[in-house]
Amino acid sequence: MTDNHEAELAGMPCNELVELVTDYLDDALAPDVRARIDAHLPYCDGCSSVLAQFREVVELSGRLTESDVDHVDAGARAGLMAAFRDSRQT
Amino acid sequence: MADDFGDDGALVAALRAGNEQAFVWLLDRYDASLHRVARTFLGSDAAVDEVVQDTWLGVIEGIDRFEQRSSLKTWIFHIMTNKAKTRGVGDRRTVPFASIDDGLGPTIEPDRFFPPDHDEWPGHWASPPPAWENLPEARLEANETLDQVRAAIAGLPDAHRRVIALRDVEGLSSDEVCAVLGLTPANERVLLHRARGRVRARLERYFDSEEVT
Repeated sequence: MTDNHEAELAGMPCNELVELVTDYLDDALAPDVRARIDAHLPYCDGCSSVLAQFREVVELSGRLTESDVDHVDAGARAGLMAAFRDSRQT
Repeated sequence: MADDFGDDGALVAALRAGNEQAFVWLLDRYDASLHRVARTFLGSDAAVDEVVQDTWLGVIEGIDRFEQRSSLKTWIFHIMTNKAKTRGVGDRRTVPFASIDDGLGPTIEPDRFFPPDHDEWPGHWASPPPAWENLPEARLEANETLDQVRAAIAGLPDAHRRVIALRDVEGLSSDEVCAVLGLTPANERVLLHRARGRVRARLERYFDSEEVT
């Protein structure tokens, strides 16, 4: 087809790339594999979307704790403070 | 102005010296997080409370012997996971941790790609995912979206759920997660990738169904 076609396939097939997204985000790939992904991404909206979506999943997962009401159990905490105090008195 | 306990060395020294503010700081910082992660190991809230309580007692008891070869945070989470695993023997929700071959399958359904013998586009997208950048910001940020993420994580196999809970929900580093769960970095990334893939897939279905209505 076009130059795009060549460049894209020279990089890596999409079905292989999508299995390497977490390794890519963790910078855990061999340099040549990373380079092939970097060569592929500019030509491929589908794989670029998947990469962006994995980043979004990480971001959204990190927000789950925001709505988590800290249930501080005052009794348990007082017990722990007492245990801490006792342990330091020898 | 409270003391700065952000530095592990200073924090450990303060704890050893019996500085109560340091211990309060530690509780504020990790107690809720320990509860959340303990819940991925244990079936009942009572068991979770007990294990976390025991963890703190273990911290109090062990702080003088803590050699600081790992971060304090990793050490604390490690104490918790050991206690949770011990406690969880016989608990129906606790399964052996080792299995990586989980049957979760590929990250994206194979039929969304052209077959490997396709003339023009082998292994290329046949049905690419829609870009979420086109979604209204409000929808991506909505509580309903977070509910979908929460439900997807809750539905994961134990090993995957623990890894994504520690890495992406609690924000531990890869090294920390490996130390806490006793995984190799490669296995940790496999579990994490499949877990994220499941969450991604659920969100794609969710946004897709919203689109129609």
